[in-house]
Amino acid sequence: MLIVDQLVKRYLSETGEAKGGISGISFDVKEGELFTLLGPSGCGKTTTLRSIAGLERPDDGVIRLGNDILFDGARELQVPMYQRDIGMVFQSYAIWPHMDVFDNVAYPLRFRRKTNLTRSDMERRVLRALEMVGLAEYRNRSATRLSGGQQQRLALARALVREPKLLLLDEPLSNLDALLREQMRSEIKRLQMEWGVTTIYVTHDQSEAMALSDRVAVLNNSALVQVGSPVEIYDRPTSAFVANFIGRTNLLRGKVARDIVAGREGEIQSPLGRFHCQFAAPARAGREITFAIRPENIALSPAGTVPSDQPNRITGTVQNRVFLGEIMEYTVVVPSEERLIVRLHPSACHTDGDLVDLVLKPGYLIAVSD
Amino acid sequence: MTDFPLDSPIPGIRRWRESVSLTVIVLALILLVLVLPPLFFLLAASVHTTNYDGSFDQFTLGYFSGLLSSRGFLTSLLNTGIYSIGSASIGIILGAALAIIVERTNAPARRLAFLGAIISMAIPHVLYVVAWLLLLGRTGPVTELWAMLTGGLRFNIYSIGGMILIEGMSFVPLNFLLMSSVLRATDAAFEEASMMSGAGPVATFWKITLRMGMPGVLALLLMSFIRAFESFEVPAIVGLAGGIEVLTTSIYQNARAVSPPNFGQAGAYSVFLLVFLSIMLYFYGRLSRHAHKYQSITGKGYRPRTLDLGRWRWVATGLMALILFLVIGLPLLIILFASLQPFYSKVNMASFARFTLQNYEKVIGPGFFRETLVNTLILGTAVASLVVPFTALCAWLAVRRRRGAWLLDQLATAPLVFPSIVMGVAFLNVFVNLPWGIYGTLFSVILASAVGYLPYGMRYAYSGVMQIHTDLEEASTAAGATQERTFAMIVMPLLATSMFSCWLFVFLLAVRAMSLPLLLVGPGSSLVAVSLFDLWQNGQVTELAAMGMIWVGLMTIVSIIFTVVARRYRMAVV
Repeated sequence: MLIVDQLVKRYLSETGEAKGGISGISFDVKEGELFTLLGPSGCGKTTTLRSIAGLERPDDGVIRLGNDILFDGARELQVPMYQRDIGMVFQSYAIWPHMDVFDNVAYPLRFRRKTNLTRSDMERRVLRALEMVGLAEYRNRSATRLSGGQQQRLALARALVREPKLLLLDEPLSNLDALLREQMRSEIKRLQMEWGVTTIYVTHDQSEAMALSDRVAVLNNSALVQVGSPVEIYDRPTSAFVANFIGRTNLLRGKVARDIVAGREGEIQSPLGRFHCQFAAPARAGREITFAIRPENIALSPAGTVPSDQPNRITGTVQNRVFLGEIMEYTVVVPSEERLIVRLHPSACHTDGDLVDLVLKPGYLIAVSD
Repeated sequence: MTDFPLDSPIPGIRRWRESVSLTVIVLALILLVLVLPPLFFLLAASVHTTNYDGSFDQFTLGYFSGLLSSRGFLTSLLNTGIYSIGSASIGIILGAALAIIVERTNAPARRLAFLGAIISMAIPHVLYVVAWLLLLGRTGPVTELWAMLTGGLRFNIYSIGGMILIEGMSFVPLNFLLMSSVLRATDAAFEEASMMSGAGPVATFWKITLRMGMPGVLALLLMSFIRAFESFEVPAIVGLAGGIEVLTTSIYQNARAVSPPNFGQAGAYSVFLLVFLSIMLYFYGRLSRHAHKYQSITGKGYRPRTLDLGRWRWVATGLMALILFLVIGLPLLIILFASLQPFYSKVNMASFARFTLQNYEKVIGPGFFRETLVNTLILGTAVASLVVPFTALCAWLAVRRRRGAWLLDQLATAPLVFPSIVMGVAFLNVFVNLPWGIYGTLFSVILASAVGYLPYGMRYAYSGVMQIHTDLEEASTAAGATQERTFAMIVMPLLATSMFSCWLFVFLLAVRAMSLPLLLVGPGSSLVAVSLFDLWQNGQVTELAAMGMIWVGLMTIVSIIFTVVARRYRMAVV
């Protein structure tokens, strides 16, 4: 449905240096998919979204929605934002204070280019949109008298009333408190699936991205770092940045023991011993590499219970533990003076100072690029 | 249950009912002494007949009962109404046009409009009015040009139309600045949401930008109306010569131009004005608060996008330049011209040949003019230095809701309902009835001006204090500092930039004022604005022009400093 090809946008600071922007981002979004742009602030995700919306003019690249070209840098073509078949929800909701709920939602229907709607048609569509977001009984209320959550739902109704080809959401949950955020998260997912609209969602919150998306694109420093389903991103991060940004992870350093072919298991030599590790990309022997393992993929048991020939075994001492409700998080000091985080079911009871055996579960130890 | 001894070991333990602090009491007393006497004397004057020496004679309600039946009053009122509505409209239309061009289009060199506004702040109102009279008077260059183009049509500037034109023009710079900051503060998301909904730029402008800006524009319109209602310079210089009286000039005529002065009549008119303005200011407050609801609250929005005018952007720049030239350039040019003439004459080729610097020599050299300049600088410095720290303290106490501090806020803001001329009349009454002979001294003018500018200081200081988070002060008291030390070591330094900016603002206002000091100055306390008025009355146009030019030059420097500081502090001008 949407194709973004080598999109470039340059911003210069007052001193003339490059600051922010995007440099050569490409991805495509399938019809009906909820696609998330995820990354820390300043990574370029909002710039990308606004470029697709037409609120920013990129410097280079191509943006295509269906059969329509929205932007082509080489041919200097740009479709103005008010002619794109796109609905957008802004971070501040941008609900017009001088209109009531009904008028806010009806507004986009007044600018249809191709067909003119009758009054009753318009009313029907507006009411349908309001019902879908649960605001039908507020139709005559002044827009200034809505709560944050209600404003957000109103913004959604307004964006969807035209049944656009693409829906853009710019950090829609960031202004809500924690409880409301979770409620609205499922609301948005439900609406998106019911309307079946192709959606691009921008956020810096990785748990939101994981929960909502069909696919996630992780951005950092103006570039696309990895694209994949939430499971792929989580289980198979390709870089230390992604491994760290999504969920918690432990990072260790070592040297590749033998030449590796892509997609195979290989061995790494590190100060803590030899480890069996998954490699997504080929690597030559002797290369320094970072490898990652998630805290929940480390088995922990009292020292001596694990046979010494068990692969991926490390001994260590429990330094600290934190009770988080559904898990107990242990900090374990290993012989190289590094600390590993291990997450276990709270029923396991080890205390500070215990000597323990750790096993980094094979298949979950992954080599990542730096 | 153990019984705790009453003589507790911790010093400072006391009953917790907050008593009114000594500071609040002292400040309240000072304010009462400053603000109440003028009001009291004004009220007293309006219900007593006065003797030759100004003291009160008999109680009478005649002045008030005579108001409604007096044709003079009703004519004055009607004139004031027409004049105010007309000039407010012109000021808004031109000011808004400038603001839209500067803030919302990509017209090249549009920032120059701010330079124009800076210069206009330096021009005393008197000088401005005189400039327009020179331009549009019977022998003025514009009148001549117009007559040439239209085959003999002459415009009589000494009419209500002329008054409306001049006063309207004088409103343009301030309206431009205020509309500018309103346009700048709107969250771009409102317009972007409109365009994402399919509305083009023009439809967005009509349905969103304009509608959302309407409360702000109405508030500005009302404010201009209020300012025109209480203005004095244009009615005094233009209106009186054309036989048109408004309320403020009626007050002046009764207090100064008749003999013996009819303070009773002046007082009755003044009281009417006070009541009317209080009502207007109340509505202005409500409108202004309503307008604020439409501003961006999150503060995270993007700056509003500018309209790309394409080839038309040069037209926009041209329009802006034309407005600036008309509002500021043309008056300054004619004053410059006049200042270089040995005697004032029509603008023609011969007059250019007569250029001379003798007027400047007269002004700069020792003598009356130099003394006037010095007096005015002393006035500005003294007034600003008194008002700013005083209002800073009052504002802090009021914002932090100390017991009784609301009274300080009310008293310090009360002078706002006094038009300057009324304030002048009121203080005239006060000084004349005091046993000490301070009438006519520079000190008396400083005192009256300080009272007049208290509200401006309060507003500035109020918003300055609001920006200081209470956390900062609470951290200080938690660390053991007393309230006084906290104010001195935490609040004052944080307020410093705001106070400096306020100082400059009050300074500029105080030195421009003519109507307030007009009735209070004496031989040793001549001031620039009042002298310009006197020079005009005497027909000494060329000296007036030279003095004016020098003064504008000096004040432009101050004005530039003010703008730089205010921008650093990121505060709107008013």
